[in-house]
Order: sequence, then structure tokens, then C-alpha cells
Amino acid sequence: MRTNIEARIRELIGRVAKLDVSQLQSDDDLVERLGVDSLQGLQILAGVEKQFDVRLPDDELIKMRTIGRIADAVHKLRSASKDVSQSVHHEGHEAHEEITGRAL
Amino acid sequence: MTPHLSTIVDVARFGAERFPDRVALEATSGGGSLTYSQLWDRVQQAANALRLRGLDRSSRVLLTAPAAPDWLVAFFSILHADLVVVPIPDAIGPPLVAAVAAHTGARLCIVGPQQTALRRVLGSVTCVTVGELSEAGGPGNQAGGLGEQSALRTDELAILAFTSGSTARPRAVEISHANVLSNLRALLAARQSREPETVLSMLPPAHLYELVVGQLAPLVIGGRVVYAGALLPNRLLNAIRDHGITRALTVPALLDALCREMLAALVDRGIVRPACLESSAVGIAMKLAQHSTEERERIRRAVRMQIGETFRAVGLGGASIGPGWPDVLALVGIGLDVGYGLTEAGPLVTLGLAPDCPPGSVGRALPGITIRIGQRGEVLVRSEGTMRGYWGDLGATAAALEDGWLHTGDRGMLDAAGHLYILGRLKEAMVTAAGDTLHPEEIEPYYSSRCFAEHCIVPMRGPDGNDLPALVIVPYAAETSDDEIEREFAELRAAAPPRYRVATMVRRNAPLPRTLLGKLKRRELGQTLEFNRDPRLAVI
Repeated sequence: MRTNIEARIRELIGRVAKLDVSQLQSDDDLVERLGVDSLQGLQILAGVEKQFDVRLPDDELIKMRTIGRIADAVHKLRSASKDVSQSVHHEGHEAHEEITGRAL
Repeated sequence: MTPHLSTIVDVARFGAERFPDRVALEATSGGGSLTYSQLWDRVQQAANALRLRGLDRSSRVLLTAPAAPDWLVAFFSILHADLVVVPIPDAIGPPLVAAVAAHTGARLCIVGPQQTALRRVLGSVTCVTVGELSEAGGPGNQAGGLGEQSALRTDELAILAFTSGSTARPRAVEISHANVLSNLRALLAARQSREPETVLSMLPPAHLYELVVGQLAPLVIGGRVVYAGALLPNRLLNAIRDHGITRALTVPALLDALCREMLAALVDRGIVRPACLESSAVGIAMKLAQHSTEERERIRRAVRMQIGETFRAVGLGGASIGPGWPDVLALVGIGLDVGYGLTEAGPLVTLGLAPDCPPGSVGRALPGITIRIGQRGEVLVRSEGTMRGYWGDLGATAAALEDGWLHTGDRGMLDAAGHLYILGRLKEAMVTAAGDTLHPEEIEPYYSSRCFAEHCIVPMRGPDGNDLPALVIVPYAAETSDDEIEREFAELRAAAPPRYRVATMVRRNAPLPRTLLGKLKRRELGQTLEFNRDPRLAVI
């Protein structure tokens, strides 16, 4: 799951910044290694937010200079939202039990 | 009617009297909002706190806090406490901030809550946040010698604004209250409508253009400023819709990102073909022009669904823009206003309102401003907005201000109707051994290539002391071989007119250096080439 996230981010970077990312390692700095400028960086992060339907935390944006860090942030956000939806689901079950006296 | 404003502080004061309950400032990412009366209360509190520190009148106070409602609170309160504000973009880094503190003799810096590194570096300069000031300042109606009426005069120094200008060394421009207010009056007189606007603020408020046009101008007529936060293009378009934005100021690179984001959404919805995204702005405009009226209307409606119906104007400053995006924006019903100015002019000189401004022009002089073309085609400006001079640099001041005319250092021409066209920087003019005067902007179009992410022409000092134009390129991919770059250069050179055939090409594997508004630092780059003995192909 996490490697899949990295692969999709890698492809996105290649597309948005028009760069050859085949040799890019997970912890290569995008600015130093690929010469990504600040505006391209913003476009990459925008692409990540749209593709994964997440909102990256503002105070961590400046640290997101490697594929690895971006993937970590996405993974964390998606796991967190899965936890929320699972707990809502669980609470829903409990509520149902209370009301009907029966487990679903 | 706009009340008579005597100082910049009056913008906040009269706003609180005339529209107390209207929202003045807002942040997109949950940073809260301030009504005009809340803003004025906070300004008074912070100004009280500043006065309690016992600084001498007109002492300089640095302002490095990030763009947010608190920035304007800090800005107004510094002025309200009879102090001079030195706004610094938070991106420039602690060592430069320390240099500015030393140059201006500042003893106090208003920082953002996250700027802990600055506190360490600035040492003897006290750092304080707006929050801390507000706490120390007590309730806004504190009386007893700390009353709000200061005897600020309109011609007093208000702001030390930094400009990189055309030289590598930044200068501090002395801007008075009267300078800013005359700019505001001229801008409001030039615009037809007095309808309050909701303006999205994306550029650093430390830049006079953003401060005067993007923040103070809306507040004078009871509008609203919405701070964008992180400039991710997807978030910006959402903010435009969600906050009812009517206008935004941008620079060319940001406008490009926003327009491409709009297009990407159209591609995602299958309304426009993906191939569109590969084109230049001109290519995209041409493709759209070939669509039928119905198809264009479909595109317009789709874009409006994304950005809402309120957005109607983009203000462009910082550098000129070619054709393409203005036509695309017009299709959606968004006008692109262009302008020309410089920090030294306070900062506005011309305004070109869509759709009447001829392509390539930066518009006509604002009311009350006179332009003439001087020697060597230099644009000269006479305006009440013009600076008093450069802080601590009489020589530079004397060179820039002559007989009440500001020497802009730009080359330009005026047409019969008074439209100004900017042709280039005088100082970037290169005089070759043959006695030719060449400008980078006339040579650069001949060296565009798909291999180059960026390129520019810079003046390099030749062995005989004359200027030699050199081409600096940034390859799209760091792995591109030198041979490939050399071949591409040779082809481009051969295809260029003899006059524009450049002898030297230099490869650079990092983005070109630019000012915070996106202008190329050609001279600075050219100077780094002086020390290359015989570059046929060098790497910097």
C-alpha cells in the first residue's frame, strides 16, 4: 500500500515537473537532485492532494522535499481517515444494538 | 465618499468608524477573521504595548511575520506608535534579516509564532509576536498618556521598503504616509468602480505592490482581504470559490500555475483534451479560439463551477506577460489588469485595465502622475508617490532623483495615446565591442528550447572590458548530457540572426536566481561568470 503510494507520487512528479524520475530514490531531495523550483513544488503537492484526496498539514509542507516524506504524510492521513470511518462504523453498530437489542 | 486620510493609520481608524461590523481580514485555513472594529481594537492594543517599550519616535521596527491578519495588525500598530515599519518577506532567511536590522538600526522585530530561528540569530534585537504585543497592550481604550492621538504628519517617514532593483545590493526606500496615500487615491481614481472587493492575498505583504494594491486599497473602501496560506494551486481555486473572491494580485509564474490548474480540472472532467496541458499559454488560447461558441460556453460554465461566479479581475505585476492567458481568462469573464511600478515610486506608475489596454503595453499613467522618456529612452516619473530617497545612501538618491523626476532605470516608449511600453532594464543593456546596444529580452526568444526548463541572457564582462552576452540554461533533466546541450545550443545559435548569435553558453543545474516577485537576477548571474576564464561550456 505504501509502496503503491510512492509509485504514484513518483509518476505524478515526473508528469507535473516534466522530469525523468526513473532513477529517483525515495529519499533524494527533489530540489537538490532534480532542480524542482518552488512553483513546481507547489504544483506537485497540489497534485498529491487531489490524487489522494487529502489535505497536507500546512506546517509540514516545507519539509516535503523527498518522495519518501510525501508518501509518509499521505499514508498517515489516509490511515487516520480510515480509522475515523471505521470507528464511526463501529459506533453505528453499537447504537443499533442499543436501539434494537440485537447485534447486526 | 472616501474621508480625508492623513496617515496610513487612518485607513484602519476610519474603517472602524464607517464599517465596524464588516469583516476586514480573513485567513483561509481556519486562521480566524477580524472585523474592522476588531482590527482597530487590536491595533490600538499593540500600539500601546509598543509605546510602553519607550522607543524613540521614528525608531525602525522590523516586521517579518508571515502573511496573515496579524501582519496588518502589526503594520498599523507600528505606525500608530509613531515608529517606522521595515517589512521583510519571511522567506529571506535569518542572516539577511540580521543584515537589515544592522543597516536600519532596528532594535525590535515583530515575528511570527513559528519564527524561532530568528529569535536566536537576531541576538540584541528583541523579537516579539503580535499575540504577545496584544497581551501586553491591555484593553484598547487604555487612557492616561497612552491615548491614541499621536501627532503623525502625513509627510513623515512610514516605511523602509526593500528593493533589489537592478543592482545586487538591496536598498531601503524611504516611503512616507503621503507617498502611500497618494498612490491609493490615484488607484481609486483610475478604477471605475467603488464597489468593495474581496481580494485574495497571495503575494508577500512586505512588497509594496501587494501591500498598497492588494491590501490597503480594498480596506479604504470597506472591502475584505483574504489571506491564501500555502500557495497550492488547487487550494487557491477552492479559496476563490469558497470565500467569494472578486480579485487577486499575481505575478506571471503564479498566474501560469493557476490557469494550468483550471485546465487540469477541465481535463479531469473530460471537457478539454489532455493534449491541451502540454501546450504553451498561446497554444491553449489558440485551441480554445477554434472551439465553437457552444463549446466555449461549456468550458466557461465548467470553470465557473470550479471557481464560483464572483471572480472577475486579476492584477498582474512584477514582470510582463505575453499573449495567451489574457485571452483564456477573458473567455471565462475574468479581466487581466496590468500595471507598472517600482518600489521607489511608492509603487504605482501606470495601470492598464482590461480590455482596453493594448497588448504589450503596461497602461497609462495613473491620475496625478506624469511620465516622460529621457535620455537613452529612460522612463522618468513625476509623482507624489515617489520616495524621499534611499536610506543612508545620498549618492544613490541623487542619482535616482533629479529635479523632481524619478529615474526608473527602465527603457520605454510612449505611444500617442499615452500608453507606456517597457522595453527592458537600462542597466541590463549590453554595449558590445561593435558599439551595439543589446537587451537580454530581445535575444532570449531565439534560445527557447524543449531541452531548457529555463534560460536567460546575462551580461558577462569580456576580456576587453566590454559586455558579452552569455546564455545561461537550466536543462529540464539533470541527466541530460553536455553533448546534447551543446548540440541544441549550436542549432539555436545557427538559426538566430547574426546580431543575436551568442558565443558563450553556460549550464546551470539549479533554478535561475530570481527576486521574490519572480524577476530574473541577470546582472547578479552575469557577475558570477566574470571569473570563468574561457568558458565554451561551463557548469555553474
